[in-house]
Amino acid sequence: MELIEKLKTEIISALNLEDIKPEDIDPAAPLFGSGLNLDSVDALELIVILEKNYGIKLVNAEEGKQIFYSLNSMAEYIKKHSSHA
Amino acid sequence: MPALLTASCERPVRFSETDPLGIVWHGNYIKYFEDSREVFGEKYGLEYLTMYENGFSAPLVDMRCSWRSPLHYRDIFISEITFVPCEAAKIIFTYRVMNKALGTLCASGESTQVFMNKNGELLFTIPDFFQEWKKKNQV
Repeated sequence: MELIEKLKTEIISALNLEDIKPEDIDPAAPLFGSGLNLDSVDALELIVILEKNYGIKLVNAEEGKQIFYSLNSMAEYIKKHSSHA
Repeated sequence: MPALLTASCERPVRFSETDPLGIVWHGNYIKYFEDSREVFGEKYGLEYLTMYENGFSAPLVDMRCSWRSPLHYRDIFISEITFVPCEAAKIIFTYRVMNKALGTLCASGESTQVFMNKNGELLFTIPDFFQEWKKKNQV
């Protein structure tokens, strides 16, 4: 499965976004503030996805803002840094 | 599988906790939840002040409560708390408040806390002291 599509289902399941279908998520749209309108507490679950599914450990909050800007930026970061993407 | 971590406390409903209808005012159940959370902290060494000494605070960011049956003045209630293991940098608890004499469920709920450092910044990953606490308690 393409990474973006895989991330969509992982995010939907981690955040229990029952009303949202993978095709509803625009990979270029912001995840926070608009688009999916996630908040910082949701980000904690995205961090678990990075760590558990891709072996990436994130500690720097500033870095997080760029990585989690959109699905595209998340996927790009994973491709660059993951040991098992 | 390790046993779930739980704690509970019990006491009678105070006069000042009831509303003009003679039943416990709904907002007080959130306080009953906190009563058991404090007992849990003492029992398992996860107290607010210990956390603060470690340089962290754990503010509540989410609280859910379902009210099932009323408690009245002087009813003895049991407030029970259970730690819900999770992998994110969060502390999740579920709660049950029961009428001791009748055994009925009066309210149930769930809360989520996150970690903040002394500068008020949200922690993205589980702080070391909590990681150690989880390991020690196998959760």
